[in-house]
Amino acid sequence: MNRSALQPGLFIALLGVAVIAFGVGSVHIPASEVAGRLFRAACGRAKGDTADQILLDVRLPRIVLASSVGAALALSGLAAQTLFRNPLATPSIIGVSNGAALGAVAAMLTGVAAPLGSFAAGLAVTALVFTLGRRGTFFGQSLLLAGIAIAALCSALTTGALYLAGERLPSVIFWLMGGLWQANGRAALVMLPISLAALVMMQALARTLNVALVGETSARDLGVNVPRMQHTLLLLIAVTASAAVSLTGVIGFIGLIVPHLLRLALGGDHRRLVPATALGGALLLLVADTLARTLAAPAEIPVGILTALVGAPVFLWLLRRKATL
Amino acid sequence: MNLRVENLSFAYRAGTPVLRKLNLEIAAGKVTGLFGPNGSGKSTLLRCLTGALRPQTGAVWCGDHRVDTLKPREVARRIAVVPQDTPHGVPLTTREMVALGRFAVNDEAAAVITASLVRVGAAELAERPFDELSGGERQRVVIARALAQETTVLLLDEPTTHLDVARQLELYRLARAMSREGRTVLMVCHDLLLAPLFVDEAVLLRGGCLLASGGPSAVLTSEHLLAAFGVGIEVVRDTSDAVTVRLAKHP
Repeated sequence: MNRSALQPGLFIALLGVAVIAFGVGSVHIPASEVAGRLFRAACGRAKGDTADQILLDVRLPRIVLASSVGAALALSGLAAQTLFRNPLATPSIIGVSNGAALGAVAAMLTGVAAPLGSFAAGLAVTALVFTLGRRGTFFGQSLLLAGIAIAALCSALTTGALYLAGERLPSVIFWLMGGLWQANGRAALVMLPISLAALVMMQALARTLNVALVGETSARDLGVNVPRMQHTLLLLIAVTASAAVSLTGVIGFIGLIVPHLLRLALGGDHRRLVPATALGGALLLLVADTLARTLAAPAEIPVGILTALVGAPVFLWLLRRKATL
Repeated sequence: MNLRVENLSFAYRAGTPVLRKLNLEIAAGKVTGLFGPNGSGKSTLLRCLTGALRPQTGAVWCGDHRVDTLKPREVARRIAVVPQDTPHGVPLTTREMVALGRFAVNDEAAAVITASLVRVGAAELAERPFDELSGGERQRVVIARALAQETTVLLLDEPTTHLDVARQLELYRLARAMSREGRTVLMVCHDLLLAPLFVDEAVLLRGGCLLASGGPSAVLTSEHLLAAFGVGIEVVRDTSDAVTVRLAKHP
């Protein structure tokens, strides 16, 4: 594949899928009309009819949320893979996702707003893992070990909470499966700046992340302030992953496969990898979510099922092609 | 720029010092070989020299700067390190790997990267994935990365480990050439056959203490080697500069 064509290609694909996603649903709106209506709305001359309401109040927030959550999950996956120098790392490996899920479940069972509880718990778990892991000689490794233990603990507590959930069990389970049916303008307005900030920050750190690939000792010898880089990445992972989980539940696989696939296609240079990962994550979740809300309409399929169903075969196919499997 | 070690003591755990009150001067324009048995503190000393490890007492001076007051980026502009082990699982091409040496100066000058690769005889590897190289090729690429840092001090931790005899000779010649350009070159050596031919100064450590330092023929004597390694060996350097390592008593 031509490396330089991939990034614009991803961008055009994302725009194309967005146009389709605006059009499809219980009310079909043709692409030509979508563009016209969005343009008028951008100029402040929206008609305000039903079609406009569907486009601007329902589908726009959902498309923005899906793209920004997808980008956030993929970027935090890339950050974790670079931080731990392990292509299989994801934010869940240090307990962020499990912590945020536990927070959401606890919040739902006690009547607190789920996103708030979830976001706070995701950050708290990261802080705990950081405190436990910081004393090790090799920060990355001790962080990973502490994270695995805390993730298991959170997972056990979540199962315990589910056991005690009683009649609220189905709604909690459905939330845990992950999905964007709760998308609204406010969620989109929270998630979009977080994802953009993560993108800008990681792009600014791209050269440092390249050096981090050779390990803590050599990275230091090459001039990287290793603890500062590790703390920055950890904070970035905690905020992006917690925010994503708090708004959409646990959507697996994007954080793992998007950076991995793009690394196979583009190589390890983060200056190319970071923007491509953000675009790839946004594209994958937008495609999956659009399928999730249309395939079995009016019912919704939990999007996590689709990200894995679409992602896993593509992932395996690419691994075979690259002869790494 | 000279490296100066003053009264340096270092311990990973309290009570078991790895380096004990070490005083050393490593001169610019020369290749200094650091010899000593496994666990004598050679690699630890190297990591103290870059400020990666903080000594409990004493200090390391690089020219007029105490290295522990310098930021990692400032150290990397002065001191380049070739580590003992080359990394695995790094998804970069050879050229990208060498370009990492330019991180501290924030300038990935293509000419410097190419020149560094040429200097270690790895120019033809430039576009190959680093992970697909052989052990010896990876070693040379990591040396090129250190050269790309364009520092005045070069520290090499057992750089000949993965190299065949021809490549070892090339490396020693390169180290010598670098020193003749005014750089300070310090090399951890295990090899008593070739290394003594190419080092200008030798430092022999035992148990974290300085056993001897000076010219290689004065340092690598059978008495010193017996004291350091507990093996009866003798390094003989004849007038034609050929070297023989003799086992005093066959096992």
